[in-house]
Amino acid sequence: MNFTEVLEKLKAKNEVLESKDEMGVLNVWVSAKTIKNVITFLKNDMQFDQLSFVTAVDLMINNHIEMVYRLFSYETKTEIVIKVKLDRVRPEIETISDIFSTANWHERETSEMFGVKFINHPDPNRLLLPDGVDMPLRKDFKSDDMIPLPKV
Amino acid sequence: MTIKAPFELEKLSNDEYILNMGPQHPSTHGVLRIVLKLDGEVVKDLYADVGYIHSSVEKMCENKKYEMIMPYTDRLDYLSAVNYNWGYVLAVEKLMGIVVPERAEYIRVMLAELNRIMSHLLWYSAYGMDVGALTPIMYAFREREEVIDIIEGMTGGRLTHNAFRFGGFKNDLPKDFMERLQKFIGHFNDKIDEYEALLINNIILTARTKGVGILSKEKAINYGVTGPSLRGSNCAVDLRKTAPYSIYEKFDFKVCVGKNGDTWDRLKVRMDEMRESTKILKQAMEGIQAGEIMAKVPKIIKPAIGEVYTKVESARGEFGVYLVSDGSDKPYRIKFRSPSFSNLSVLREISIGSKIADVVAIMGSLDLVIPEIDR
Amino acid sequence: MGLMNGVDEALIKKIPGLPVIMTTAEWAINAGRSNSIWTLTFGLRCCAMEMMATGAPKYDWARFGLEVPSASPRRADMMIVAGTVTKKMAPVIIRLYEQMAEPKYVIAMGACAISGGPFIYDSYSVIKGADKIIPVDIYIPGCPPRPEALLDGIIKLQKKIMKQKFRINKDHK
Repeated sequence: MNFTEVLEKLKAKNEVLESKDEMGVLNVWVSAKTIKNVITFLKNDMQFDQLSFVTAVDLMINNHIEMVYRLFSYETKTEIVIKVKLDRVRPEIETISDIFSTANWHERETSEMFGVKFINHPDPNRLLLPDGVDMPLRKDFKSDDMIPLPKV
Repeated sequence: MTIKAPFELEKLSNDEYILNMGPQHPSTHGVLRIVLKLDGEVVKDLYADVGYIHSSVEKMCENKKYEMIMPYTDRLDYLSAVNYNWGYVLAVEKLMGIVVPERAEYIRVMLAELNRIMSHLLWYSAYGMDVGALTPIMYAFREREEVIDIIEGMTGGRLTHNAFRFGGFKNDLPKDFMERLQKFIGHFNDKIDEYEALLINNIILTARTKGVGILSKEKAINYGVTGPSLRGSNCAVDLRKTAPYSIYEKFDFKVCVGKNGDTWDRLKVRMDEMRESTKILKQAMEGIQAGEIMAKVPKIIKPAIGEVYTKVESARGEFGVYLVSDGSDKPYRIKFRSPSFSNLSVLREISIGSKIADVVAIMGSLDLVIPEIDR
Repeated sequence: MGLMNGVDEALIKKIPGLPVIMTTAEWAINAGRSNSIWTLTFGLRCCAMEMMATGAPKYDWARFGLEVPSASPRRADMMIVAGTVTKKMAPVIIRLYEQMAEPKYVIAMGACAISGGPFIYDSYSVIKGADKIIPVDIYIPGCPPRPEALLDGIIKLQKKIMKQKFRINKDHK
């Protein structure tokens, strides 16, 4: 299954905002409302059976938090990246942990690291962070414990 | 700091009780806390509490230059550190379009396979201790020290090697390397037979592990389980074969799979993998040619704007590096997709309904390394 | 074996029949303590693997009397802080230390346990050194230290134990 084929099939059933070729991998931007439908479609109809990871990138200049879902198909050996732009002040998105069980922990990590709220998440507790540290992977995070690297 | 009780105590029935395992517990391989809800000996529910060794590696990497990140990838997983170096190096090389000379690729493959053997040997001895056999460590560490000596000759480090460079390898092979490797390969297969006779085919261990903690293929894929734990569930996925990187296409080796996906199958897959690794080492020794070990690389590493995801098959599964570059000499965002993270999340699913002693056997068979989960 | 190595020739009195050691109670107790140190099996990061290697046949710390790895802190004499101390782990380490019975010793193994090591800069969750939370007797540098370095640290600890003085607590009745 090649690049354009995947995109066409995806476009036929779902709303695609934008798409891009990033080092030979198809990147697709969708809206936050449709994420569940898109992931379900990719899993059931396009044989993308592995969710490699879920994470986010803080695009501070554009005032966005960008969600990144990376899927891989063991059948066709194709990769696809689904991206969703969220508002940086109130990032909210539906959980996909009922479609891919592995998303449960990945979403918990993203939630504490970036402050993204996952609606209907089965276990919305902290995963890795100690108490008193919030959203450390945001670019404007500051902590007294962080000693900057001295300049030589 | 408050330590949460993940289960609501009021909702427990009369026969149920809570047992806390860890963070300091000999069988959790580091600092992992597991809270179990038990009914007698039977596990009703399980909650894994991680993050006890979270050392903010991803945040630190955002403030460091590309060259300075390499040592941290070693320390994510100190047991197969080479594969973690490799995943990171591949990401930067792919972004910058660097082509690695063939001799360097051969050296990388040899180092990675030696490292895989080293990691599986430690898993073998630790697993023995988990299930109550204290002798396997005496046997496995004998060969492990031999492997470490060979690797130390190549890189100078015992555990954390930091020997990869963007575009090649730090130094050429030492003079006596081939001789030592030949000697090691010559007798290692017999030793694997010895390990199997000692622990894996032992009647007590087979009784304890066969039919315990069954992980079906569909469930494993759904949970993102990779590596030997996935192959134990009869799913022939090995990134060295399915998405070959470096020069792995040149080598002839088998992807070892289990049959039923129970604990014993996962053990057996790792033992077979060591045999396959020696096969690859043998072929690499024959195939290696004289040549350059470093490509021409700019002095200041500044990849172009873009993002990349590379994955390698580490001893535990798919290790991936997701790298976002903004064109400066520091990465904008780096995410390490660690195999143990997903492998641990399946533990709850496969241990509910088993006995409390089996939880230790199942957890050991997943081969977890905690700093890699917590990062 | 280890006990007799440290015995001063002058202490051995040849009373007809058998050699008898005439010494102070202090020396005898210290010798007993330093030659049978029980360690708490407790690893945090990479250093824990080198700790295992030190316990394994090639390096074999049982030669120095560390025969028993104790899984419970209540019967351990020595804690090896082998790795990075983080904010979430710190209360657990303090609790483990408090559970250990006196006399107790702590070895900070590796750069992380000494000062934070590679995680000293730009890290929000690492405590910069085990000595910020518990008293440390011996520091072993390295990242991770080789098994020989750990053995050297253990021998240094034994020497330290041998120099301990006993004080009589006058308030105690």
